[in-house]
Amino acid sequence: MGKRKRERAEAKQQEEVNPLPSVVPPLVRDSDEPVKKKRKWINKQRVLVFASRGMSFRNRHLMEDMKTLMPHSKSESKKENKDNLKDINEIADMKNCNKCIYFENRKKKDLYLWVANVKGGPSVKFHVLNAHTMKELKMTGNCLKASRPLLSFDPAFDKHPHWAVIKELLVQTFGTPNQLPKSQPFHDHVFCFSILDNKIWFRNYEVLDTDGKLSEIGPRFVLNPIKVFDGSFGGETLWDNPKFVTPNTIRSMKKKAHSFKYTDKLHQKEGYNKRKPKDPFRGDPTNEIFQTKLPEKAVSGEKQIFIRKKV
Amino acid sequence: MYLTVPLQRLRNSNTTRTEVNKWSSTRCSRGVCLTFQLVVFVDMVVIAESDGEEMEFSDIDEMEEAEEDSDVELQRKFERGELKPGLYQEAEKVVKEHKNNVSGLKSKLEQFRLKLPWIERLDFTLEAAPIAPELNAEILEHGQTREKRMKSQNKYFTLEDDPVHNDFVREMSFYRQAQATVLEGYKKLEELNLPTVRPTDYFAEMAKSDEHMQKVRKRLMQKQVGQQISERVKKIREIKKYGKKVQIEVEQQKHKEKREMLEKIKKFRKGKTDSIDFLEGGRSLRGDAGGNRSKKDLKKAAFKRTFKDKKYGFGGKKKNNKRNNAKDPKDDRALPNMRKPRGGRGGNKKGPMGAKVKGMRGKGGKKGGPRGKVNKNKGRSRK
Repeated sequence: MGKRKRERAEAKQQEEVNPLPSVVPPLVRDSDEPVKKKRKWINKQRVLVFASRGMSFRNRHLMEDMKTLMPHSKSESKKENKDNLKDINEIADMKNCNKCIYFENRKKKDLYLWVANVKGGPSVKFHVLNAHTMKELKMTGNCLKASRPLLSFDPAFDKHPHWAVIKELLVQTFGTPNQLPKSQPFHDHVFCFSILDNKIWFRNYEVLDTDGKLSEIGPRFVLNPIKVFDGSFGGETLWDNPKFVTPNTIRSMKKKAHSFKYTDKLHQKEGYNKRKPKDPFRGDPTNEIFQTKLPEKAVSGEKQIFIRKKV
Repeated sequence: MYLTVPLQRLRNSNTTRTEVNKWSSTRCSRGVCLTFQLVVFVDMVVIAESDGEEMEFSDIDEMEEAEEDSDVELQRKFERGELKPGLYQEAEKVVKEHKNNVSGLKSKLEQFRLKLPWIERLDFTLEAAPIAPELNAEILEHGQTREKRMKSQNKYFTLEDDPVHNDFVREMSFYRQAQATVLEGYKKLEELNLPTVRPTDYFAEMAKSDEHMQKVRKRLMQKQVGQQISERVKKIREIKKYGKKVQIEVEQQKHKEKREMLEKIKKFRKGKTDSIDFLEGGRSLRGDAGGNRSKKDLKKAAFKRTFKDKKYGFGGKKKNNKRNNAKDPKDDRALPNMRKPRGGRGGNKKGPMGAKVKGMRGKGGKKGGPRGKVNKNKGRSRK
């Protein structure tokens, strides 16, 4: 074989072994030239998810579940309840987050959820009820950790302006941004927000097939909105829920209801004592004149009283 | 659990007054009566304790008279316009206003709204999907089983008030809402040529770990197995019940037959019926288990019985069938009107097995007679 032929054969072999990619970066690049940015990820949302101290196990698991379902989230250590809420804005700033989900625990019993747009936007405070976590064995579905969820809202969200604000906030916070580097390709779960009895019911379903067959993944909880604030974690209240009853009031009502039993009994006793006659009822003796019986129908002792005398 | 006793009502009716008294005093008409200050909210009246005065009353009327100076009376007097100025002070009205700054909300919404194409948000606002017939059937079934179970325990049970059934219906409505979204969403995504359903062979990090899913699967299996077992037990119970019924019926039939037969016999004996045909009837006293049998079948059965008795009865009889003695097989055949040769042959039947051989019935046909020790010597003496 001639030398030229050999070289050609070698070049061919190399090409076959290392096929060049379709988009070939240039072999030589000028350092002054700025690097071209990938501009697919536009919606830059980063959510700070953290809680205050005094969390119960269920609420802690709920927070963990939120973190797994939202790949665009960042976590933070526990915050003291006594510290000012406004400090959260600074914490979020330091972590370069523009949204925040804060789990406020009070009395080790009540869980309040704050969802806020940190940079000057509105914030909402909710009271969380009926929380169930992903780890419950009745939740049989499973989904990809970082896939983008479909967000489903009740038509009632469009009927009032406060619901519209809450909806927008939920979309921006819970929805995974498009082309997030961590995100995974398919859309295999749905976040379902419904309004029932003036509360938001949250469900997370896995999509099993294109016919719409679903299986619940969890978590599930109910959010009772308390207030919508103009600023983040404070500011002017834009909307206030008139039907909201604080959990403390509910507990005190329940306790009072227990005392009704005792007070009712007392009232009843006193009422009876008032109505009770002091003397036994004495009949009028003159009434007995008109009580007669046929002598034929008299029984035993009465036969001596009711006698028909033969005339 | 609100204390909805608005101020208007307090003025007019007597019943509410006693209610107020109930609320306000721990023991009325006797003992302590505490006076209260009414704090008015828009829809709510919360009665808070202010100060206590100890007064003794023996009757409710007396207490009402003494109420002239109480706050409630004062309020009424004020409304009537009977109070002179300078003797009272208006308490601060604390009216809680509920904010609903519609314009503020709308402007805020406009300010922070995400003005990006729909694909960046993936949100849907749809009505729930219509109830599929299977779902409807499931809901009805759930309602029925629930009602059946609870009615047996509590006769005042209603399905509308049942929280379990209401829970089920509520979850179904959320399910349908999500379903509508999925159907709409997948349509839109397919238009944009984006992947939708996760294929079964796509392995990636999942929200729940594999161990957890194993636990879930195990629990489901256990449930399934439990259901199967209970079903099987139920079936067995049913079969037993049915079997018992059938058994009882058969027995009763037997007894009936026996009774009838005996009656007929009695009648015949007493001379009331002449024919004895019923005995020859196809029915045997053994019962109707085999159904109506013909005469032929019965004869066959009887023959079978006797043949078997011959062959297997009195075990050991067969042992002498293959004796190599000079017995002529012709002897065994039933030869009509032919005398069997006497003499030497008889001697052959001596020997250790002689007696036994004589005892056998099988020889020479069914020469009847009682079973047992029959001396079939036939006159031949033993030497």
